[in-house]
Amino acid sequence: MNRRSWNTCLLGCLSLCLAVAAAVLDAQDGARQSAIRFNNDIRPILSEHCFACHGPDSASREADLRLDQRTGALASGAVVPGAADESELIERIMSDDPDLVMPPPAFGKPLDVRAKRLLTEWIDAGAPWEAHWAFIKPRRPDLPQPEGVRAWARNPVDHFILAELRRRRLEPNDVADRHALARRAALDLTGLPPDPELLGSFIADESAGAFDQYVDHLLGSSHAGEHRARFWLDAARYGDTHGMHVDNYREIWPYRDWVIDAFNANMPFDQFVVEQLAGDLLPNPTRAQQIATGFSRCNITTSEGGAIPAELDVRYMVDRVETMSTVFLGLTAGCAVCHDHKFDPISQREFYQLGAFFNNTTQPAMDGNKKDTPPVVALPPEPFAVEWEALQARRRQWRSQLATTEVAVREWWDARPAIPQHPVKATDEELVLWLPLSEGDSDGVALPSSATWATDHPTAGRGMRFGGDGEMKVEFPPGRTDQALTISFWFRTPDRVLPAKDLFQRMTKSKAGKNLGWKINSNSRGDVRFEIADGTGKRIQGLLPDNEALRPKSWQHVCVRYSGGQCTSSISILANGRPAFLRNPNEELIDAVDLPDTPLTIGKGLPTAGLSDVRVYRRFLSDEEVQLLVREFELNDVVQSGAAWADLSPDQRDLIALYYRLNLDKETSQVARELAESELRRDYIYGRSTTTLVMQERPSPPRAWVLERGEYDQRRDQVRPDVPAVLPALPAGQPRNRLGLALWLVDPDHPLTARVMVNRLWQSVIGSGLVQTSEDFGVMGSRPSHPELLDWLAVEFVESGWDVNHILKLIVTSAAYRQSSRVTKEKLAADAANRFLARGPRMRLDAEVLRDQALAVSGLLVRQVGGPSVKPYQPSGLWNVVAITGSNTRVFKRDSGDALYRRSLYTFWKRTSPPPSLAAFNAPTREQCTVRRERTNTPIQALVLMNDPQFVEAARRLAERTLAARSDAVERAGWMIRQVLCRPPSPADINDITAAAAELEQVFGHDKAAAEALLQVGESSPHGELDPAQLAAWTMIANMLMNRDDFLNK
Amino acid sequence: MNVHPIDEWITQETRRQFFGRAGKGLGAAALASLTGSRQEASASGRPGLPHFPPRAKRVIWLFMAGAPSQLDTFDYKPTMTDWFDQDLPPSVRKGQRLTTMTASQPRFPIAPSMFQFERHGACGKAVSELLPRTGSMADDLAFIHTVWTEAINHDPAITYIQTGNQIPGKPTLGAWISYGLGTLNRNLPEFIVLNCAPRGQALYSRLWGSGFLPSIHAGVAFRAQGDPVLYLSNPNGVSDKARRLMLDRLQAMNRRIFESLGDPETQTRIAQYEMAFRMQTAVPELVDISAEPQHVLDLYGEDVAKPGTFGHNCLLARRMAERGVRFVQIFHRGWDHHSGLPSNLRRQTKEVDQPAWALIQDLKRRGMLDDTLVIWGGEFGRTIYSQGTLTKTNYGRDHHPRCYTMWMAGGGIKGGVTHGETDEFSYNIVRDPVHIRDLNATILHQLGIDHARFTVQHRGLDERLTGVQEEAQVVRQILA
Repeated sequence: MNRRSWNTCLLGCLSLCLAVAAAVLDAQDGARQSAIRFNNDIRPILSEHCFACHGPDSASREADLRLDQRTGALASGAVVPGAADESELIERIMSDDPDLVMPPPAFGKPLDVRAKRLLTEWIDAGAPWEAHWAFIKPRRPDLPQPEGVRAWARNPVDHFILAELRRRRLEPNDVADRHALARRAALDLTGLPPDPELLGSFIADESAGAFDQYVDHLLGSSHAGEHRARFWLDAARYGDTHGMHVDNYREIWPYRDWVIDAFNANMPFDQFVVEQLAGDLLPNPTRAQQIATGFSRCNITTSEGGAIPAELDVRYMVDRVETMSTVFLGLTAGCAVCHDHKFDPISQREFYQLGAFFNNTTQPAMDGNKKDTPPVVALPPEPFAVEWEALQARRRQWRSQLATTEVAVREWWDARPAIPQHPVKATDEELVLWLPLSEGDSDGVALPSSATWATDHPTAGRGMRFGGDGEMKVEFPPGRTDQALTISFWFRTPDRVLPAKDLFQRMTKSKAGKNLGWKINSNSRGDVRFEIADGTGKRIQGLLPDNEALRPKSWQHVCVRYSGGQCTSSISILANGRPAFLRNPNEELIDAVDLPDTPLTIGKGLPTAGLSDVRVYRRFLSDEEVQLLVREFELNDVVQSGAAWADLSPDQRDLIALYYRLNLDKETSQVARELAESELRRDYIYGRSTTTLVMQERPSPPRAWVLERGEYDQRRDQVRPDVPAVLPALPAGQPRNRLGLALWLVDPDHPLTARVMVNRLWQSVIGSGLVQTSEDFGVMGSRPSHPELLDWLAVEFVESGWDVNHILKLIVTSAAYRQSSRVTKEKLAADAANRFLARGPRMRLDAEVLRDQALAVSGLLVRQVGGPSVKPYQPSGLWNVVAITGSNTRVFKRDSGDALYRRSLYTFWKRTSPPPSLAAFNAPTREQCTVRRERTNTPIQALVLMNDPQFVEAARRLAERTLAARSDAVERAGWMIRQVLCRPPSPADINDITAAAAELEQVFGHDKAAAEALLQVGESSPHGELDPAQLAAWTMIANMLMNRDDFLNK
Repeated sequence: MNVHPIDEWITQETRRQFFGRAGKGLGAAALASLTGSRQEASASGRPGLPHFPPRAKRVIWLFMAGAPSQLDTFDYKPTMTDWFDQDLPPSVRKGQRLTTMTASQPRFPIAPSMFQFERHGACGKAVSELLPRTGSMADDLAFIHTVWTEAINHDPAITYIQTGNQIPGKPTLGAWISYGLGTLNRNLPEFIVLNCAPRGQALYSRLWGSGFLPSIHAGVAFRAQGDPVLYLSNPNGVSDKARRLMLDRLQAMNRRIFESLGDPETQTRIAQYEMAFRMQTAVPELVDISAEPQHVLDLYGEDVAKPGTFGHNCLLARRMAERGVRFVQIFHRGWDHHSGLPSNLRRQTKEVDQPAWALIQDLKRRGMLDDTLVIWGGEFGRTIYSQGTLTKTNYGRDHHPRCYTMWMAGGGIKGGVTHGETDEFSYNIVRDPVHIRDLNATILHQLGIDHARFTVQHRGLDERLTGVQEEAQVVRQILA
């Protein structure tokens, strides 16, 4: 660095002068001139060529040199401000020596002459650093006043747009035709073409404020919230299945409806953020605020047998951080899972600090393949709503009573109690069967002749092993399918490999010839399945999942419980007292019917399996009561030992206390019983309720661990929740949990949240964002096309009270938006992607909008807002071909009637096989957060639009309406064009349509069968009074118009 | 198709403009979505590719989903017979993690393979009696005994081997290849997936997804029933004549729209409708095997006439290879044998043995094996110890990610080679580990691609099929 090269010196001096001069200019008019700005000119070079080894990532940092911060660069001597020729950085980048030159040739990203010159000039100009633009709080810039702005601008947005157009010597287009503009605005704001009446009144209204009023009308429509929600659901990665492995149904559509309602109410965006990230942590959260937290429950989950819960917990946490970060911060935090971020100042430690916010949920790692993986809230149907709340309150009270009541266990113990035969108190009516099945204990039942006494039972002398003809029958009283039932027993899994056989079975056939009764079956793999059937063909089941199966060849305690709630969720199975997460293949409800007097058959076809201590209760035993049954022998041993209280282990004391509380203390035993009995009603109502996944915080303070290379079992430091240092600190006085995080995001001083959201609003209307990489505002993201406009909009957003519709209205009422979308080859050459808006936005409509538009213009659309997801047409076999046996989304059963014609955001989203006609138009799989869709143009799309039954049926319906509405071909052609394109027809279009209609009528006139066949496409029946050949021809015409490029584009 | 010269000029101009603005990474890829046209955007692949002369033009991957047991097929462990029902020594297990399906087993009793192994060919490779035809072509195959992965469960493991990452969202091998090398044909997708009848473990559409690459590179899953390609057929009652009539009018209208608005996307759309029309002929022709001579059909075995079978799909794969489809992946399912392995494995191997052999023979006869890389294998291996009950003739095996066997043939792969060695329990790798990343690097290498230089910038990272930071080596020992 001592070697001086005089020509760099000269260059340096020269450029310093230039830079100073330019800086003065810059300060004068605020416009960007040729001065070197760190963020514009230098950072892109450093991040592309240098940061990989000399950036924020401490692990891969070479030579301890950090160039993303001024201090590091200066301290090392790499950069000597004002003296490029003394800076090692310059020496190294200019070097001809392959061992010295930077970047190293092997890196494959050499610097070009321009970059070298810029670096030199910048150092000579004093090497001013800037924080990355996106990390600096936006300030409202003054409105530029480019030439002609008064005449052209309709609102402040236009000042920025026109200023940039002037700089680029581009002229804006004329205003679009009013029909085109009306259609464009309706599609952008509601995702649907304008209602003909609304369109008519807008066209007729020639007053100055007509378009503003029209826009207000659109924003006030309930379809506006649906449309806005659809973008949000991509970001939230909403789906109707768990997304991995079995990919069963997941119930969370109330969250989807919450999003729609929030947008329809134009909920302030700060509230929208807080309720979704932390609604459960607000004081006295409402039901709606709880539902909102479904945002963090939309991630994909699994219950794959063999999966390791700790690994899954980390996956879910990482997904939640990445989603939060992409959606609200516009940062790609995911890179920091394994190492410090290469480009953005997010360290690995900071990533896990963010993770800690989400690492404190009560959610189990395994989703249980059930629709209602806890935590959930139940939304009971109207008749039960009040009762449900009261029941919940009562149960809460009972629970706290049980937990707080003092018991005089000690006194009782000192009196040397005796324990009765049954550790759980029950009347004779309740305990309907008791089979000890232990040697020397005559049960009064005939044992199968081949049975032998067990020798390997954990309590010596107990248990029986079935032989070859293993089967016994015992009397069993009649019952009902809505009556509670608890079956407790010790079971020894068989030695032999056996398929599932009925261990207990009291089934008969109903008059309808269907199964009526219940059974428990098992096999050598240790599965346990309980089933109860109501004689109409309906049945409910509970099945232990693979990873909770009983151990092979060993004795275990099993307790099967059914509360009588007539639904799947009223079944539970406990293996050794541990409640298992059941796999529930069907979600049916069963009828309440009598179970006739049938003997109970035990152990049929289970040779080498063993059984002991069978107790059947017609009552729902509580978890604690089951504990006593599991530990029955242990309890007996302790009592018989006569040990002094002081000699008992804490565990033994707990067991004694549990026994005392449930059996002897009047108050607590009564409460325990009521608690258990209330399960029937709880399950009954729950089984008839919609449920939705929510967040719930554990009581302990949140924390996480830094994971070496992101691996779940490589824990390093424990960290508490915090936010990256480059961003503002968490607000003082707020809790360090998700609520604190949410409040931090919506703090008016936050540099990112508002920018990121207004950018996505812009993107949704204009086609691409002001920051084109709407998911990445970091140093590797693209620079904003209009930085001042972005900041102006962000500040306006916050100061308007985070008013989403206000921003949308600003965008769509701007002169920029209202331009015609016609493009000349000069404009194409200057700005192919239309980022600078020298023409109005034009782009292919999104998947959902295309389908909804076809339904709307045909008259098929059913405009109901909200409700469970629906299954419209899709080709057969698509689910089946990917699904695992036993998945409840293996068989696609198409809905019928209205469900076929709902808006596409209600379409059931199976994430391992998303709706194919939407996927063809770049709808994401919803496996992870998506804030920007691709927009391709493919032959498959043509096939969908021409051949998919839902588009063909829509065409037929439109044809029917056309033929009914008008009687001659020219009139019909014009009418149809108006429906489809929301504008009057052109003579050329009329000519094309009438000519095609004549040709097609001839084709179908010659082939009536073909005409009939075409009219049969779709579920709705064709109009019977119209001539089939004519209707078929006009169906093709409608299909043709719905394939026009100007139908597919806005 | 009649393209007006000025339209052509504009299309070209737009393309050049786009290349000029963003000559690397996704910028260039975005061109595909801008013009979207398959021929134009991807015919040539990415600039600079291939990096060196390829050995293979195309790939056919026979994917055995569910994970076949290496112990009962290719990784012969004769000494295990003496270990029947003895516990797997802790010194072998080394405390390595197990799935939660067997982690709580009181014992890990060794289950020797009940099947005989026979030596085949000049190389003398020992192959299970279950795969006689595969054995008979051992001299054409390279067996890798030491493929390994970190993932221990199906969903993450199959996602991992397909995309280089256990977490959904990354592009699959086929998508990378399509993106990198472009198409060899005009009317068909460059990445096609053929699914066999559902059985056992699940598949996911992400297994042929394009991740962050333009979705035009996603695999197209052909179907065994109904239209081979979704929405391919005209609706009932619509003849080709009626469709053509409608299309001609539509194209005229769209040309007028282009004239008034000048959007090059409209031009592309006109072209895509013509492409769709051509596909309506090309695809049925592709899947119609009626013109195949009887001796060829016989080669593939008795299932060949039944759509959705492995035999049928192998024949289709050959027809696709002939027509310039770059990457074909057949998913054969039902290899997840936690219990009842012997009987299940018999059924599985019977289904795949002959067709896989037939495919190699058929390619060879046509002189296509030299530049077609064929791969056989699944997402991980299986344990030497039995899951659940163990008898001499019945046992199950749990997931085993630490070593398993795959074979490769053709496309510049050396035949009659066995690469890598596992310990006598086929539990740990003794020599020459081949991570699934190495495998993917090798496949790319055969196609003329240096995996390390094949990057796409996504969210600020230079993404690769073989991972952003991870190491991967081409398995040079098996290259011809």
